[in-house]
Amino acid sequence: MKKKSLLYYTVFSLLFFAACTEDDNEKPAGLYSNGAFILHEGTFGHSNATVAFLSFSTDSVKEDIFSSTNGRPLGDVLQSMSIYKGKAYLVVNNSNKIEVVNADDFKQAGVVENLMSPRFVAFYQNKGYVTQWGDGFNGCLAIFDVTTLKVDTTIAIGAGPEGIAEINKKLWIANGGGWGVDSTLVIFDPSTLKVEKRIVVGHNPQHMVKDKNGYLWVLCSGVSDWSNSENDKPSSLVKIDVNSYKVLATYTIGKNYHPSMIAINKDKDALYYGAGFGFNGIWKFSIDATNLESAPIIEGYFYGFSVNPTNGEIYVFDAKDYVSSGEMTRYSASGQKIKSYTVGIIPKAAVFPN
Amino acid sequence: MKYFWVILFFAHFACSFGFAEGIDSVYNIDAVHVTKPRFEVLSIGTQVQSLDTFILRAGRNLALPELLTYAGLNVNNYGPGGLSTVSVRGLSASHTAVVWEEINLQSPMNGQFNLSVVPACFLDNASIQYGGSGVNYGSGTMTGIVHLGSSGFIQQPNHIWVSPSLGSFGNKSMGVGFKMGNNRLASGLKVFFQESDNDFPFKNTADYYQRTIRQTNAGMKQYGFMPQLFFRTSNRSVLKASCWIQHYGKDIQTMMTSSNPNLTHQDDDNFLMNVQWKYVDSAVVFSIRNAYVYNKILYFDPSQEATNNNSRSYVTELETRLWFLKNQWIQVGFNHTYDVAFSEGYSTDKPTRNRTALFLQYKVENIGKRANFMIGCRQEYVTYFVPIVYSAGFEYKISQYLRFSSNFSKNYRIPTLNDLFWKEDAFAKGNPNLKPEKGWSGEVSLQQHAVVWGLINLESSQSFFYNYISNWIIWQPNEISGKWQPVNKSKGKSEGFELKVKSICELTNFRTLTTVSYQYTHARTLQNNGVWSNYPPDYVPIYKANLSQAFVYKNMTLGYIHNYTGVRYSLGKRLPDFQVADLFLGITFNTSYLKTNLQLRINNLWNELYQVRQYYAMPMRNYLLTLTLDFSAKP
Repeated sequence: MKKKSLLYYTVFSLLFFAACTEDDNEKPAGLYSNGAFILHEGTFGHSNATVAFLSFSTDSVKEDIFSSTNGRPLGDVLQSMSIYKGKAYLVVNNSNKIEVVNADDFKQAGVVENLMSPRFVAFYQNKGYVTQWGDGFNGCLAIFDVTTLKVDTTIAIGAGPEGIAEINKKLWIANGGGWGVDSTLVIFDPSTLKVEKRIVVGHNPQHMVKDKNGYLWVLCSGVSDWSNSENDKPSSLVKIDVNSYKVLATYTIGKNYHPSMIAINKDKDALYYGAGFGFNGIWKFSIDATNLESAPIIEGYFYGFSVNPTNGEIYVFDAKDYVSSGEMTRYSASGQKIKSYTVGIIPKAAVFPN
Repeated sequence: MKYFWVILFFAHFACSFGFAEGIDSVYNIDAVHVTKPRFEVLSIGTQVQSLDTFILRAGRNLALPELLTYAGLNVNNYGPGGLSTVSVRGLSASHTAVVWEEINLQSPMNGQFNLSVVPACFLDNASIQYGGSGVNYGSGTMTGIVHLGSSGFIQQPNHIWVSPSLGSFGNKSMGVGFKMGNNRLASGLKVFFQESDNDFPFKNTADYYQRTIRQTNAGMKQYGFMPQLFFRTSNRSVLKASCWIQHYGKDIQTMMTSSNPNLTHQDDDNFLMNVQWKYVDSAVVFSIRNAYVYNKILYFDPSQEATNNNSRSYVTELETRLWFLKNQWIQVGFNHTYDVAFSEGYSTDKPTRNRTALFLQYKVENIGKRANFMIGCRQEYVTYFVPIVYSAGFEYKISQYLRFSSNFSKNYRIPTLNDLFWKEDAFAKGNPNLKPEKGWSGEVSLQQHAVVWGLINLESSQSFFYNYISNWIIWQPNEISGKWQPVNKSKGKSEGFELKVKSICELTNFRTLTTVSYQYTHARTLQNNGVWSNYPPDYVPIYKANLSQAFVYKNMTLGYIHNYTGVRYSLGKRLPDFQVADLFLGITFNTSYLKTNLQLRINNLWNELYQVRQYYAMPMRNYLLTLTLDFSAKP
């Protein structure tokens, strides 16, 4: 009997741990577990980037949780935040570093230094992969160990690498152009540390999401020529098969319209895209649709937006005058306004720990 | 530190009761200024603070921002030797002008002037005029003016001076100058060179590891030349000519929050020429001034091409003052300024601008042997008529100890060339339809003067002021496009109180000089939502105080300067107050032909950890040793 119990215990344990993939990050279960982290870029050159926390239980915003917890500033221009195995990685673009904190209480836990204009980070097998603009034209990927927080390797990728995601044990990187132009997705193999393939998509790809059918959707923001709008290049949504690497469809959004962000809904059967200078509204697109919608579901000019993966609510961010408090508004998945909140300087995105 | 406020309290009340013996009847209410520059003649009712000679001499190898800090002014600088601007009585740096020999040095491109390019040894005098002066100096003089003078060499004996210094963090400098000639023809030359690594150690409180590290990318190098000429063209007329060539190169200091050293650098090159001819007799004073002001800024960033911005201004000003009664005169003036600028950021190849102004002043002096009164107006034409501005000032000697003064001034500031001509790109766009900013300033003051026991010369003043600006040009993002564009949208106001005390005590072999200043400023700006802000504009301290104390015994000098800067705000974030003190010790040896002075400065004496601009570290205690040799032609 004892041997049988031991067998069952072993099998059960193996099944339990097998169910945890690289995608199952440990979820913070402390002070900041039931809510959303609100990321604020801050004013360039003022080192006033902050993170706030919207508590779902109290429906109130707590400002600047990094500085209030750790007694020092976060840095200059918070670009993004990712959570991996209970740690939050805050990519501070103009301070060239990633601050690491415990996601449940935001106490500082380390720093990744000496980066070169870092943008976004993804994780795979205890390594962090950071897209970096470098000089703005020759971007690269920095790889660091999450235990030592030291950068092991830096690899040239393309112009302005931006969004990054781990898909099928590969890192997919969108080369957003930086200060120039690009139109490629890079598939990077972390086991060989080599670029496996480059896929040509639309102009200046920014970010990507995966739908319920496993297809990848890439938002390409297009190109603006400020001296002559006739020279603009159009923005688009591009659908890709992540197994064959083939571009399955391209939906042109507009020649003179340049959205900068994309998100997927709770059921992963519809996309949202929008935000960015001069782009009106948040638009919805069903993954089964053949044409783009003719009107946004939320009107307005926003600096950023995010979607709550649990309940599908859409959070939009208005930077106002870019030097004082911004505004965050929650909308339902169908675009009905729920509530507005005053937040910090230049709010950009929300990260949901649960 | 805690006794600082006690000393300040008693220093003020010691002289304000006027218990001293009176001053004799020949005392002129303007006698505190032995020589009368133009701005002092015209600044009736406003407060003018001259930097004491001992501060100028003690700080010979320093730069202007440090001297102005000693005078209690609010100077914003990005680290030691970094880019520096000044704002008087709150509001912004573009509302405080910097004037050299009556020529406004504010850039036509951005409306400001980098004070760090000015070596103190090029100045013979420096004064701060508080309050607006739109009638006398035109655009951009809305809350105050810093006056710089370098023609005092005429009054000096013929001499040659050399002044090398060596200091902490690779700081080395050399100043050389001479003056020769006579009362009819004299010439002078000043040369200055300085470089510093500024690699000072500091504890990085923004760092995860809280490491003590060396400051990176904060070095500077500058050199300058100032040839001057004085020629008495007749018994009643003089010609003065000055040329000022200055190069200032500064590595832009790495912020404390950055994990990589900054790699940017800026070069400021200035070429200034100023020729003035003045005729004086009992009935008329006629002046003509011509100036050429060239400024070039090269900004280097390894990730981008170097940006080149430069401007030239040609200034001609004529003034005629006519005495039509013994104590009354009227002055008529004309100013024409031609600006031309170049920047790769402009939509027009080389935008130009002609500005023409007429101004008129009327002054009555010594009314009943007690009062001075002055009114004036100015009309400027750009491509449109700027609204007329006017001013009125009044001074009244209540008693032999006490004087009252008051001033009201309407002021303006025309848009800069950057505001008007910035080309449209992804992030920004100029606005050629901007109107001038307009505003007014007012103040009332009491001044006291007394000589105590025949030994102590005491001066004291208390002022209340108010400034208001509307049509304030601010850059803000367009709601739809998100592009930053200047608009006449905001308003600003500042009000407050100033206290100044100065005492000089002279004994046979012993002399003391004490100055105390205190400012309270309540400044606010109107926000986009139509509500006044809850905090002052960025980096405007609510409270500011300064104490300077010098002792001179025979040939030795001991000086102590203590500055307190109160709470400030940056984009709504509260910044803590801080105090910094400097100490200097000097010894002088004099022979018939040679004066030798050796001075040791200890800066940041109490080793305070502080920041002037947030996250730009400042050095802890550091040292500067200066030797000055002054050879005179005659004993």
